[in-house]
Amino acid sequence: MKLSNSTKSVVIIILVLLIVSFYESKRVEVLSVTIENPILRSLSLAYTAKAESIKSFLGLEFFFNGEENFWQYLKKLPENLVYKQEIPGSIPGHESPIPFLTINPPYNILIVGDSFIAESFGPALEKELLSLKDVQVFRKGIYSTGFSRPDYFNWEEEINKLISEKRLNIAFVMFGANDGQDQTSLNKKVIHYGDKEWNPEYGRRVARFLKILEDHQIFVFWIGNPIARDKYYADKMANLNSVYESVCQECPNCLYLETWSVLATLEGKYSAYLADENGQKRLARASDGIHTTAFGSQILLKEIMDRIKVKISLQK
Amino acid sequence: MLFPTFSFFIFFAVVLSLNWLLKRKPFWWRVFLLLVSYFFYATWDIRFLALIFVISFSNYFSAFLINSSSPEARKKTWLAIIVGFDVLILALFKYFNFFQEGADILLNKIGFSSNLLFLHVILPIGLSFYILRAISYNIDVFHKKIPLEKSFLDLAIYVSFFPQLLSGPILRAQDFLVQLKDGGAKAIENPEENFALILTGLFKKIVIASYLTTNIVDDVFAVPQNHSQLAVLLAIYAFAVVIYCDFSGYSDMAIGIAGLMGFRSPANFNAPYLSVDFQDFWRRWHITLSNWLRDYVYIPLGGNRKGRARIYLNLMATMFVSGLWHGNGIQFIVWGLLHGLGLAFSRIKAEIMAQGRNQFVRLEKILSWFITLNAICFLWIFFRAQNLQNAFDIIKQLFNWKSASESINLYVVGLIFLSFLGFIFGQRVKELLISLQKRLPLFLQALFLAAMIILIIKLGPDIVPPFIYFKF
Repeated sequence: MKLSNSTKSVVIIILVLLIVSFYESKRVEVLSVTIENPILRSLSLAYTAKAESIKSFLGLEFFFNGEENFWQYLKKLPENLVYKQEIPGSIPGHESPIPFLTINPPYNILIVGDSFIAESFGPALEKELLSLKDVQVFRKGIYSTGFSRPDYFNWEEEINKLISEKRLNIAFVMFGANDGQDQTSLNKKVIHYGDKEWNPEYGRRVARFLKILEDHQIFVFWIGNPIARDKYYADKMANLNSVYESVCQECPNCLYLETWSVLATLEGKYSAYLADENGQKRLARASDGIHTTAFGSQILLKEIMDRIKVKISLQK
Repeated sequence: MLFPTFSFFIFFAVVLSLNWLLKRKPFWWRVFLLLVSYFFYATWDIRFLALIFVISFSNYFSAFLINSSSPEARKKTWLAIIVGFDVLILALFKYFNFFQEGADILLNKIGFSSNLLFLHVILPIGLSFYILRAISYNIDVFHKKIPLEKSFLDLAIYVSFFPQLLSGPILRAQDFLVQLKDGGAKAIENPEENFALILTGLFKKIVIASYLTTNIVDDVFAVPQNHSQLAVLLAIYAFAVVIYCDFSGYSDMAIGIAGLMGFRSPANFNAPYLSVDFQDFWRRWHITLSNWLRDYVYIPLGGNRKGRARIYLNLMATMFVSGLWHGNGIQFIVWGLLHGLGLAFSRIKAEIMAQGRNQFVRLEKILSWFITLNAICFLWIFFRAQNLQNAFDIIKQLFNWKSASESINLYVVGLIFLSFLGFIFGQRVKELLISLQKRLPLFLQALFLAAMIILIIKLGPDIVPPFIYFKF
């Protein structure tokens, strides 16, 4: 039977979709969790579950695990393929014991977080820290990430990798804008946002992250989220801030930096405009009501630099 | 809904099937095309639908007024009103936030409450592209290049056709509307070519652009002073690769997807980094936008017809508009004006070269290519920088011979080099993909395409950054 080109194209697209989602069933399963339409989500999850059971029935797990390891190895190759130059005056690792009363220079600082760190506030903080004496700064901000979805992006793995690459003694951490959602674990167990178990589980994830840093003698400045415009986000961020603050209080290597009120009005409300030193109101927040403009970042920065004085020398 | 996502491919599989089923009933097929385009747009933000409807309807209605009025002066008035309206809408959404702070300070100074401007305007995705389509339709009706489109449905599809809605190519009404008549094309001429375009587009975006963006470009451009001179130099070349792969990758996918639905689209890129001067570059880069600017800005300003001085002035004015269209920062205007200077210089050079016999044509071409490529890469600094100060910081660091050393990821260096090679041999790769598919029976062809997509997914990063041109 000879098919027309149009029929052929439709058949090919459907076949490709089925083959790719069969082969990549684990990845599709992760994506399916986020589908809002319940019928589509169920259909997608049922298909991926079927694909997984077929793979298991055919004994293909060995192949797929080996294949995954191969790609991981290939992606890690650049770490061995780095053209390394001897950096003059390289900073040794921090060696002072916990508790961290003060941290002596030189400082090897890591800034990590989500979009706040990738583009909004992160570059401003990096520039400011670079202006200090005896400092090296490394920044890693990854959009749409946090602790709720380690199946999407695993920050525990990432922080271990970063620590092994750089000899750090200080970290600035800022997360939360994406975390007010259902939490999944690596074994795909889902905890819905609002469930009683959500905050304790999230707290455990934050504590594990901090423990990794503590084990490597790294002091953490945990930057809380500033007030958000929309109630939907503001409520979630306030809740996340409360988790961060309580976990940080339990950790000897962490100082929580509250920023909620820094970008709020005197009445404690959200405003896109805030006054500068001359009393002139200027745009401080981005159009999404979450991120900061350059001016907003400067307000945040001033507050943070004031607060960290207790721990590090700010000599320029 | 983004092209390189799982949800888009499910959407497209359904749309493609219904597209060919409904073609037998042309009216319902067109209703279907409008509905799926609006659905696609609403997945970004349902409020955007109101705007695209207003733009479609006002441009549809104004064309009637232009067509039916006389004398000529009244036609011109209607045309000025609708073009002014379109430009005002674009300017309002695109530049409101840019001018907001200045206006706010002014209001405060003259004693008004700054709350007056506490509005946040989000630029609706794709607006810059569909406004240009709408403007070109009315100007073409005015000049009687195309007949008046009596069907609102067809005009609304032209404005909102989903494969080209978000980032072009910017089709002309005369090329698109004819493809809607009588149920459009009855068959696809070369499905293998469309699949090859989708594959190359996915590869350029997911593998090349994403890797270089996340591994060098974003970090270096954000805080150049924290990076070595070599890293800054590499980031500039890397961004030249990223902007090409990101945007031409999207165009390839858009053309391939439209092609599978039976629509022909003009090419948007033609190996732009092989250009031998700036004129040549703009004939190869974002071709549909260059042609739009030529036909609706440069020629109406007088083009080549009003003497040498005016030619250069018109070139600068056109590139100033191009800069404004691309973004709402001074750095984009600087980028546009510097390209205007490049175009003027190319013209002067061409005139000088035409006067004398050049015995070293090949050498001159190689030298011109090298200088043009590096000048274009350098000017991308202004395009990528967050503001003018950031652009100067990058340039300063590029010439900072005392910058600290920094380890360089050799994958990045290799990928930049391979990408530039790819610009030379890209067409051959596409032809190879087409001929390979043609030799395979249906199931093996599907298997081959699936294997290619899996390879692209495996080579790509976990998180693919958004398309650069979406913000325009």
